[in-house]
Amino acid sequence: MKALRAGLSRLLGLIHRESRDREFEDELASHIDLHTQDNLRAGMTPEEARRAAKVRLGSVESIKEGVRERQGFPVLESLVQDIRYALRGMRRSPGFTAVAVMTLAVAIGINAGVFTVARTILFGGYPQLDPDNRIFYIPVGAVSSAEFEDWKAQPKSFSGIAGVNDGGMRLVLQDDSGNSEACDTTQLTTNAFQVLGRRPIIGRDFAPSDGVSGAPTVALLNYAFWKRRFGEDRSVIGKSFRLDRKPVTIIGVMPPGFTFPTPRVDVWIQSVPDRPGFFWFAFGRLREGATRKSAQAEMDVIAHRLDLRYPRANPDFLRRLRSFGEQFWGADTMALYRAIWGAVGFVFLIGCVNLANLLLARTIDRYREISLRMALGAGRWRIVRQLLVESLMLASIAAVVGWFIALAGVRIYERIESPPGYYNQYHYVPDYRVLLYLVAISIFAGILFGLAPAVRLAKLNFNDTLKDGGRGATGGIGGKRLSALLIAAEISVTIVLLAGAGLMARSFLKIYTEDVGVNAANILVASVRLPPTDYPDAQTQAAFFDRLTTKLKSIPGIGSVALADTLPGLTANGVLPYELAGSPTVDAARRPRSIAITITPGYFGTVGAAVISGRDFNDFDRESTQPVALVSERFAREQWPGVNPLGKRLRLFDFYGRNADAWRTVVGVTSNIVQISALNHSDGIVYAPWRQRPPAFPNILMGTRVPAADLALSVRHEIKSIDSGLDIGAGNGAGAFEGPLPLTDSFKSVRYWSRAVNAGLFVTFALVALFLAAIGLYAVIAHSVSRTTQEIGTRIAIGAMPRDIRLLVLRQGMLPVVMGLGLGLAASLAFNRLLQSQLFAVSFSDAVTYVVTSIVLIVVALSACLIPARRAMRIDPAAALRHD
Amino acid sequence: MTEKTEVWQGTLALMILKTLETMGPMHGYGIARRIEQTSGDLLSVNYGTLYPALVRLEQEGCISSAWGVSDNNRKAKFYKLRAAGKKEIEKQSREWDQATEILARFLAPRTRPL
Repeated sequence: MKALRAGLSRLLGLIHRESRDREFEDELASHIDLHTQDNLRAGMTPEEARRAAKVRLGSVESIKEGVRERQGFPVLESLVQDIRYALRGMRRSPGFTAVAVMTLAVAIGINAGVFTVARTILFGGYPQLDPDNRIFYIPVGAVSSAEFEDWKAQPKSFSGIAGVNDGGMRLVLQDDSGNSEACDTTQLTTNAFQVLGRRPIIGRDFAPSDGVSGAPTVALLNYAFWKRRFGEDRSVIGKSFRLDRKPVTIIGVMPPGFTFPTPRVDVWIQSVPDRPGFFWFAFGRLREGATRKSAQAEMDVIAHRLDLRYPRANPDFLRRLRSFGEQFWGADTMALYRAIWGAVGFVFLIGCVNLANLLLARTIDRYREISLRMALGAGRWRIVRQLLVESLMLASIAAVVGWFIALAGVRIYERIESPPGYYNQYHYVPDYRVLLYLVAISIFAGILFGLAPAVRLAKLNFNDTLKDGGRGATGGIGGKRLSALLIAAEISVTIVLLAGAGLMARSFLKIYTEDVGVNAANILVASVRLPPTDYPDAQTQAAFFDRLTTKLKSIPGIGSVALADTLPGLTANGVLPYELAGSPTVDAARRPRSIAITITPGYFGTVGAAVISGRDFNDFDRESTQPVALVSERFAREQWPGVNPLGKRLRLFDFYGRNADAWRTVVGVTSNIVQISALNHSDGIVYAPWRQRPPAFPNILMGTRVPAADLALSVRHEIKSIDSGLDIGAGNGAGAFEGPLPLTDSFKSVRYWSRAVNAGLFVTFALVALFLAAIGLYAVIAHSVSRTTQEIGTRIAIGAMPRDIRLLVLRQGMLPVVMGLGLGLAASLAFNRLLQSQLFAVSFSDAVTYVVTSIVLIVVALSACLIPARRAMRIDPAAALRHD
Repeated sequence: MTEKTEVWQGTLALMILKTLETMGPMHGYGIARRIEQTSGDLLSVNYGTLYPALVRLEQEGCISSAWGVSDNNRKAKFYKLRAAGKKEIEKQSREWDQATEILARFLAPRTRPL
């Protein structure tokens, strides 16, 4: 209590320090006065009396100092002094300040920006719904409803488990007057919103009774969809519509901004147990006290118990807990973001090293001033504190600037992350965690690298420096060694980044220039999903496509039409287990997988590929005829090396390896087409004819003789003329676009976009690093030249040639560069190994990349050294010798 | 002439408070004089410690200060004991009594030979 009171009054003392000082001076004056009076009374002469009083009082200054120490917070006050001093210093050398602040701000800003994004992906929960990261996701796959219900009721670690059947189904919502609109529909269990902790803002949530077998379909609307489609009309609640021509009643609207599990959902409908049991994933919120570890342990036990009852193909199903990032981004993306985060960590180090070097240079400039202060009695700690305050202030300003750089960076990234027209995945918001991160790294930079000059100071002998005129070699040599070391470190970090970026760029170029095996330039793609109510069986569907094909072929400019359930060169929809006739039988879970595509005759001609041996499918390959298959040349080479594949037999299974398709005879070998698949980049492909293997998803491919985009309208018109209620897409796996769309557009957005963005990020960060390192190198060399003007002048005066001087300066700069380069190349081999999973057709130890990036680095470093070197060459010896 | 001792560490505050208790409001110089006199001129008050001590006591709320006029018509800053100060005197004197008593036991002549 007493101490608190005293502290408060001391704080107040800070405010009117001056008036207090004055008052105490008065008190001391009155003290002397009173004492003098006493002395006079004791019989002294006036002068004697006053002198004696003053002598007895002692040193007025030290009494004042003692009182002042009691009155305010002396540490705080001298801190304020230090800050003022630092500010004055910054104003005096704006160039230094600008360079130091900007390099550090860029480094801090990039880090905070990347942290914002990386945090969401690596550690975040579902945006907005799960800030504490308590929801976990469990892959389910095909299970019976009975098994799902059985499983769902068991875990005690979760307060509830809900399931998502399917996301992103594009269904058509139709009202009574026939107006229809395609909407993205997600089907989930009735307790899903409860587990997520969100309730509809109007209407009601799904009730358990909605989830029983035979219950009528009910729907909840996304707020944005409600606004767009119904103009926020509340009367739609309770109204009946048709969803894919089946009756559905709208029961509510979810709150604005709510979307789950994809960024784009228009309508949620409930899942009912009579549906064939397939779940995309289940999710549950951890109960209070449960951890991921404890929950995982429990799931393992439950899964083990269930395995005995329900044999399952994929051992991860119903067992493996996934975080938000693992579920929605995937291990590869997470690895990529870890790599990016690491990369900008290196950029940060470079910024810090620059700061250290600049501060070091500045401290050397101020040796005389510092020595003088020390000679006048300032303690070493006081000086070090002064330097620390300066570097912390630079870091703070850099942090503020960096914050805005981070904001801008995140905005830009959000813009370019997805291809134009795609829904942005998630919003990245720099929240308080990002702020904390930013503050932490700024303080770290300020303290750790502000200490570099302090290390030098520990050895400073102020007597020598003062004798030396504060200029010469005493402080210089050691300082040079330290900054050379810092440069070497900076360069080695830069080369790691440059090499990594080089690898990513090279990998992207390989992908971009790769021969996909199709002629995408003149292919137009459309897709329709035929509602099962109107096209219930294979016959009606086939009839539709026959009619459509004939109509499309009649459009001038369209040369050929083919159907396929996977777009050539894009993501493979079916990566299925297969079995070769005559090969030893393996366990269902261990069967090899291949890309499987169902096509109509003429597919290869349409996409610009070819059947290179045997025959193509034809119209006689029907349900009733012998089952046939085509295999890609790569598949043939891998499975039957050196053997004629024609006549060989194989069969496919469904995704879960349960049901086998017919044994098919290979009737032809096709040229290779590079699909994107989860397996390898160079996978073989098995093709089956459309009539023998009903496709899951029909894409209509049209080979055009004119630019594909020009025909989009007429194709649309022809499709609508057959069935006006159909929703026309741009192909499965090409995003939720309205079709038809040229295949090149989908190539751009699906094949190249994210890879280009990723490579671009690495290249950007590496260039920033290179730029920062070049500035750092330049600053050190330029500073050193200006410090040694006299020495250089002397050398020139006694006959050194300009090129000797140039060599002198270059050697000083390039020696640490070469050292750093060697070190960095070694480090690259270690660090860039982490990139391997992101690289296509490029090894992490790709020699070309390392040579090219080394050359780039050396050229940049040489230029950074040459500018000061040229200045050194032009030094006028006469002027230099007078230089102070 | 006997050598004067400086005021022992930690006792100055108590002396100041006690002086103010017996003498009423006093200025800094007066307090010092009074302490020296009370000690029979055995103690010498160092002003470099006296004034900071006064500041501290005031901050802690034991004393208050105000400008006034001295007996011989001089302007001076007077310190006055406050209620908290009185309590502080009680507390500190108790501690002192205890301390001296304990010390006395150590220093007392042995009554019994070992």
